[in-house]
Amino acid sequence: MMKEHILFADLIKGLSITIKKFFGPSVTLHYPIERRETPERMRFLHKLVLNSAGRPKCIACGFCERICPPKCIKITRGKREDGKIGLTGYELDIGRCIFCGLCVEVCPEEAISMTDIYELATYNRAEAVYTMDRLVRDVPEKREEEG
Amino acid sequence: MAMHVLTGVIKFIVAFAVLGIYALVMLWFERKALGFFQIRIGPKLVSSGLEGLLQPVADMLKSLWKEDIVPHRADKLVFWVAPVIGGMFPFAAALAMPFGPPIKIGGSYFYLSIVHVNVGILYILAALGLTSYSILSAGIAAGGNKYSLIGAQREVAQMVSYEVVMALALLNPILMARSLDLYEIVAAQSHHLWFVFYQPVAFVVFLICMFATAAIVPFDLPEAEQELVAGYNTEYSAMKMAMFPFGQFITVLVMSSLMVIFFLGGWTGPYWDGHPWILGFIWYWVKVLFFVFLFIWSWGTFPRYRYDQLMNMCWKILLPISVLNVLWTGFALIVHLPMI
Repeated sequence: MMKEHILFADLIKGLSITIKKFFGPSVTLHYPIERRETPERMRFLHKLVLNSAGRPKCIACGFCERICPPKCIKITRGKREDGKIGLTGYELDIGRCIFCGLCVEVCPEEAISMTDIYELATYNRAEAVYTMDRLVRDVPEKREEEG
Repeated sequence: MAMHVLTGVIKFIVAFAVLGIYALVMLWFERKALGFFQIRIGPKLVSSGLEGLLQPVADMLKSLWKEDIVPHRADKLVFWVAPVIGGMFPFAAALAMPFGPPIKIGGSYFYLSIVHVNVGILYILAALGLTSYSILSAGIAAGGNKYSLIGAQREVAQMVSYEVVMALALLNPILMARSLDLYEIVAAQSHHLWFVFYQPVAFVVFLICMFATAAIVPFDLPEAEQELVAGYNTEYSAMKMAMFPFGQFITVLVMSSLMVIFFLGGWTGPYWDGHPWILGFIWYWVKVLFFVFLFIWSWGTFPRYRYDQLMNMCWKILLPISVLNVLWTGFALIVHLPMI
């Protein structure tokens, strides 16, 4: 005890630890420049999956709308341009979404899935509402390709 | 006469520029080094090619544009004067600090300090002691802010205690060199070993006092962020607040140079016996900058001492040791022990 105090052994020990860290690598992630790898099954922004004909696979059954806990999905059904009855509008309010992923799980057609896009801040609430067009078009797959 | 005035003015301008640049670089280096110590990277995005070297410039511009808030209840004049003193007195202390070994021109020496007086150390200690007035007045003028007042009170108590011990520690090399002139003290060490080998106790005591006087971690009680928000500069904003760290960095430099001059032989060093002037210059600055780095190193390492621990250490341990050390040095000099 006394020896430690007189020879400053404890202080020197602390200093030697910090100087090792000084010359060692840093753990900082240069966030906007480089990103953390997203886990495969992480739940982020939704995406409407397209079928081979290039239109959403969604059959407008409304399961996701019903199971959604914060009720942020709104499906409109009606007559499509090709004359058939089906999905005409799909609105998802990301400002209310809790990212539980139940919509993805419940979907019988696997028509909705989740991407790895997580920077979803907007300047106003209106921008946070993703319409069908945005859910199809605005959700690029390139981030997935990068990953 | 006119020649002397001219060289004085030129020296002053050069020293002012050097110290200003030094303070800016230190602002950057402090943040960068603390980042490295904490396994971060520190400032980077301002001038990313230079590792964020221009960050202090950006900080300074920001300080200039910020609103200068003066508390309603503040003592306006003292509130204004405090940061001015805080920036000025460390700089005044730096006036007598040697910036390198003297240059021999013909038969006379050209001294690389703005004023070369034969009581240089007294002047430096006086100027550094006056720095605590800035913090004292900052605390009192802040209009009844308790954090400021407690911070100022701590600073003054700390300064008063540690100045005593510091002066006693410096007394040993002064006695051995028989001079108060900083250049003479270095010259006294050039003939034999550095004073650190004769006075290891005084060296350690001065090392501790160095941190306490500059109020750097582990002795940064006046500003103790976690307890006192930021102590004496709680109420300050904009450029006024920037004056305090500026003064503190200059104090750090002056203390480091005192340490090097008094205990580590100044610009003397291996392979230097006076003539390659530049080698002496390099030796001097390598040593000084090592101690400047040591300040930041300890900043990134140690927790803060408690106030009573600080006072106990000063009055119960360091003061008796230093007094005994001075007595021993005096005795050894009287009986001509082979220590000099």
